[in-house]
Amino acid sequence: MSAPFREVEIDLDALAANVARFAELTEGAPLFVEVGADAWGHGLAVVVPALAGLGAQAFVVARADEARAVRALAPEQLVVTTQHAPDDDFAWAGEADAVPMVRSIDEFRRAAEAGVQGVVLAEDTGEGLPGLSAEDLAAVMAEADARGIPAMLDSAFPVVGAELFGVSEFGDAAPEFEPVLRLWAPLAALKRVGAGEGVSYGYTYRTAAETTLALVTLGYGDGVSRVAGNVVRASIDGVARTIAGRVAMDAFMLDLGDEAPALGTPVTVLGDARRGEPTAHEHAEALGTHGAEITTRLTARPRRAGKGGRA
Amino acid sequence: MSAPLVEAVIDLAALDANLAHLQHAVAPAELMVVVKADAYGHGRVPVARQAVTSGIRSIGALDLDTALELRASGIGAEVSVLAWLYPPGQDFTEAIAAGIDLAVSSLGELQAIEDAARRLDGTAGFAAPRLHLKLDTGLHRNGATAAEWPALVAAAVAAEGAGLVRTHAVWSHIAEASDDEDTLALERLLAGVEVARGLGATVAVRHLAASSAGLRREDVRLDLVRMGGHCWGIPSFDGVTPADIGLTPVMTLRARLIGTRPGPDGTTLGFVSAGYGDGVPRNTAGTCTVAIRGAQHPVLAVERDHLVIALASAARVGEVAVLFGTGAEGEQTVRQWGDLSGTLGDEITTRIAARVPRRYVAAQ
Repeated sequence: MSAPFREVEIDLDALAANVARFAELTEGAPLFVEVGADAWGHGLAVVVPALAGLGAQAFVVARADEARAVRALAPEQLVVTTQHAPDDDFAWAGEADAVPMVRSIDEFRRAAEAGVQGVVLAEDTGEGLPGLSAEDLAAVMAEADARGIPAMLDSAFPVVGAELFGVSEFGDAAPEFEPVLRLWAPLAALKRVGAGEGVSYGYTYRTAAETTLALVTLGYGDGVSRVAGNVVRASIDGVARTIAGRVAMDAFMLDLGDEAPALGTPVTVLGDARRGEPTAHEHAEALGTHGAEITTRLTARPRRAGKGGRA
Repeated sequence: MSAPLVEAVIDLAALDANLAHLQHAVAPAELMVVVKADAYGHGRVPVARQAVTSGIRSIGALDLDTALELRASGIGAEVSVLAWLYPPGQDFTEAIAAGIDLAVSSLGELQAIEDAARRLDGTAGFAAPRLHLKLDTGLHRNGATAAEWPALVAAAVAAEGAGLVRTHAVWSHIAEASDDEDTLALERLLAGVEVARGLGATVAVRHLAASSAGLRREDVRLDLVRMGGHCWGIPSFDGVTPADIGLTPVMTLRARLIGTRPGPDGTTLGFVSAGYGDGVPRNTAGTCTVAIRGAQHPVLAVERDHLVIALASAARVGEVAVLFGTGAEGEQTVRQWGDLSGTLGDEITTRIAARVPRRYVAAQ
C-alpha cells in the first residue's frame, strides 16, 4: 500500500541523543539495553540495529523467542534472557547464542548441561522474583568455575531499559530522555455536523455547536485505550485536543470546531511535548498507569518505521 | 515437551460451534465474520479459514492490507471479503484485481476506485468491483451524510453505467447508544435504501447491525449481520455469560507459575509468566484473578514480564496458570476480565501482544 495508514515512527536521532545522555550520566558505562516486549513497543526490527550502531554491547530480553529475534538482528552483541520455564532444557540457547540469567541452582545446572556459553546469576533481593541466596550463589559460582562456564553477577551488569526510549515505569523520563516514538495517523475524513450530535459508540460525547468532526484511524486495535476517549489528547500541527467520544477498535474522533485541516494531515496521539504533542507520560497520568505500559501495549498493527539516524 | 511460558490457545471447535449458533440465530440474515484487528487478537488467517470451513461466505476485513492477505492465504472468490476504511490517497488497483468488496463513504473514495477500475478495464479477468455504499446514520465516523447521499449514489450509478463498478449494498454502523437511537439509525438506513433504489442503484444487501444489536433485535438484522466479539464467545451486552447466549469463549490465555516467595502476614506470593508486555492490562491488579488447579488467585501486580498473585492455596512451581478462558478450569472469562478492569473483553483479546504465541486447537 502506498499511503501510510497508522504508524509508529521511531526517531533514531532522539534515540541517539538518549544514548549520548546515558553515557554522560553514567560516565561511559557499557550500553546494555533491555529490549524485551518488542523494545517496550518500539519494534525490535527498527531499534536493535540502530542501538547496535550506537554501540550497544548487550541486549536483554525475557524469553527464548525474543532472543532468537534479537540474535537475527544483532549478530555480534551479547543476548541475555531473563525468564525460562521451570523445566526448560535450554536446548534453544545454543542456536540463539544466548546467555540465560539463572535464579536457582537447578536452573543453572539445566543451562550448564545444555552447554550455554555463559550465565548471568540473579541474586535474591528479598523481594520480587526469587533469586540465588548468598549460599546458593557461592555454590553456583564454584560449580560454574569448575565447569569452565563464564558467570557474571546481575549486579555487575547494569541494564538501561525504558528510559532509553524516553518512557519509564517510574514517572516522566523527560526532560532527561526524549520520547523516541510517535504514534500517528493521517486524518481520514472530515464531517460538518450540527449542535447536539452524538459522537462515536454510546454517544458519550455530544457536540456543543455546529462543528467539524475528524475521523482518525487509530483505536484500541492499535493499543490506544478504549477508556482514553474524552480523557486524553491528540494533536494536529502542535495543537492538542481531547479525543471526542469513545475510542473504538479502529478509530477515534476529534471535534475541530471551525478548523478545517486537509485530509491526510498527520494526527499525533503519542509524541513529544516540545512539538506540542501529547506524550506517553501524559496519557499514562490520565489513565492511571505509567508511560512504559502505554508504549509497550501498542499492538503490532501500526507499522514501525525508523526516521533519521545514520543513513 | 514443556508447556510454554505463555500462550493463547485458540479453540477452533468452539469457534465453529459459535458460528453455527450465530448463523442460526440471525437467519434468514447472513452472518459476516469480522476479522479486523487480527480477528480481535485471535489470528485473522486461521480464524477466517475456519469460518469458511464452517460455512461462512462473508468476511469483514476493515482495511485492504487485511483483505488482500486473506485472499493471498487462499480465501477464494466464493467468499466475499469487505474492506471499508482507507487512508487518504489509497490506491485500489490491487484490491479490485483481488475481487475485494469495497465500501464507499465519499465522492473522493469513489473517484479513487473509478480511477483504479479504469486502469484495469480491458485487462484480462477484469471484474468491476462491488460497492457497499455507506450512509452515516448517526455515529458520525465515516459514511455519507443524508445531504451528501444522493450525489454519492448518483455518481456510483453513473460509474456503473460506464462499467467501472457494480452497486451492490447499502450499509451503516449503528451507535448502540440506546434502543431509540438504534431505531432511528434503522429508519435512516431504510430511507437511504429507498433513495438509492430511486436513483437506480442495485441494493441486493442491506446491513447495519453488529454483535450486540444483531443478536438482540430482529428488526435491525436486515440481510446481513456483521459480528466479531460474539464469534469469539465474548458477549457484547451486559448481564449475560457466554453460555447464557449459547457461546463458548475461543481464547484461553495460559502461563506458568515460575516462582513463589513468602509474602506479608503469612501469605504466599506467586509469580506468573505473563505481564503487560504480553498485553495483560496493569489495572487487572486488584480486580482480576488467575486460576491454578481450579482455584482463583487474586492478581496483586502486573510487571512487564510477569504477574504477582496472592497464592490462595498450595501450588507447585511449574504449574499452569490460566488467566482467562471458558471457565472450565475455574478461571474467569475474558468478559469478566473486561468488566472488572473497566473495558470490554474485546479490548483484552485484541491487545494480547504479538509476542504471545497462538496455539490453534483444530475443530474435529
